[in-house]
Amino acid sequence: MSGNGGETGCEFALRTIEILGDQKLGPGRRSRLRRHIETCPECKADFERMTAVIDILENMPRMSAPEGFADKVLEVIMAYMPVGDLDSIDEHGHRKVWIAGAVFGVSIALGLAVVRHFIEHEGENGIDQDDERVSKERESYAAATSS
Amino acid sequence: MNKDNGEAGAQHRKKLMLEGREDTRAVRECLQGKIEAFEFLVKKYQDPVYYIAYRMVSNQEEAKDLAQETFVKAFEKLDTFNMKMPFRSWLYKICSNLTIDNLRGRKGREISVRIANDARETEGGRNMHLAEFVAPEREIPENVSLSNDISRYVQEALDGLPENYRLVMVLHHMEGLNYAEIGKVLGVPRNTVKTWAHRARGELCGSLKGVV
Ligand SMILES: [Zn+2]
Repeated sequence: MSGNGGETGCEFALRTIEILGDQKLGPGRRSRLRRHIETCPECKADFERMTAVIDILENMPRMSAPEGFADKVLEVIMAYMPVGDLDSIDEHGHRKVWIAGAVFGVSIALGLAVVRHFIEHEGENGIDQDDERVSKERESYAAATSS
Repeated sequence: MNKDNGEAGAQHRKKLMLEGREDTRAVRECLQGKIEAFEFLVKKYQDPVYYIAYRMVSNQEEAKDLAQETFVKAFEKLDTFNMKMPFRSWLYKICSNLTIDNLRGRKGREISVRIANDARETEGGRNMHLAEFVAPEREIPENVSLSNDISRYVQEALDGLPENYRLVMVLHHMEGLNYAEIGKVLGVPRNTVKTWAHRARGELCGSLKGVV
């Protein structure tokens, strides 16, 4: 139980036992611990208990989900999904994405047509308005110069 | 499961990375409407999710319901899944939250039974121990050897731990997650997970004195 770097052998051993489940011990730490527990029955008992607990935890009997679990989950999901979503799934389990795509495409085309029409119409109005303004200016200029 | 170090650790990380990519692809496909991509995820993770739930609640029926609820919730929330996060961590987070809620609900039921019990006692009724009313039935699964008394003792000792400690033990030692990943699952820093792990193992050693 001699001190080393201000830490007693037991303190070092307890600190090392604490991190046993975190990571593999480095060779230096491992051999120092081994040397200590050879002479310290208390730390040896703690080390053995911790090693056993970790070993048991890591080897607890594995268990599988009950038979048919995945099918049940999918059944619940299908039952849970809103009717609209269910309708959108075809016989292969694919949602009918193409319908959504087609609707989206048509909407975009219609939108573009409306915008184009509006711009063209607005452009024509703009030209008309410009022509009207220019002719009014010409008339007022002519009136001013003639008088 | 100290997989953080050395060659084994590197191989484990590579495996996880490849699995992570596979999962992300499945999530993307699922979001595009391929229900069979979600089926793939359920089949891949049904055993660990069920196992985590079982080790947390020690009851097969509750574990099955919790595992089912985990997948249903994951499906509902799939559009909120961050593709940069491992799907496994995200799924385990849902499972962990549900199991902790379940355990807290149990505690709530214990309190209400205790109140009812206290009332009965004051009325001069039979003095029945609380555990007789509320101790959750601890089942031993059929596919587990009953001769393995030690694992039963360990499960009992686990059940005596606070929920967060128990979860760290299950995720680290039974599921092989490192502390950083557990931190993501539980939403706490890695060092907090490490501290919880040390305390949990310390408590387990204390509980199992004389057994191991
Ligand atoms: Zn010592």
